Amino acid sequence: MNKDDITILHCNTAYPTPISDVNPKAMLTIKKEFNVSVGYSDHTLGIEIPIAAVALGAKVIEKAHYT
Amino acid sequence: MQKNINIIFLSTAFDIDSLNMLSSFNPKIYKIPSGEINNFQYLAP
Repeated sequence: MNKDDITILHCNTAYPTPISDVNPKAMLTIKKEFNVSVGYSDHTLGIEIPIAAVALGAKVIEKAHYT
Repeated sequence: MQKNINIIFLSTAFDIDSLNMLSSFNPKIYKIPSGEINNFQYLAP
């Protein structure tokens, strides 16, 4: 397996995540430090954050659902 | 009218039995939970 096969997802471990704890730029730090594709594992209640993550270059989005 | 959306399905297995079941679907991509990144038994297959 090589680096091109790996995508690292940034995630915030508070579930559900309050918006005040969200920092999608941390995903960009991961990208810069590891030089891999990045994604975002989103546990906020809306869809705005995954949209922002894609705009910032996320190749993968994981969206958790809470009933 | 049909539209094709280029999105790949993925699922996360949290234990080896679940991973084996997931493998039977021949996924294009595996998501490894962060807690398992040092679990060589999980990663080996």
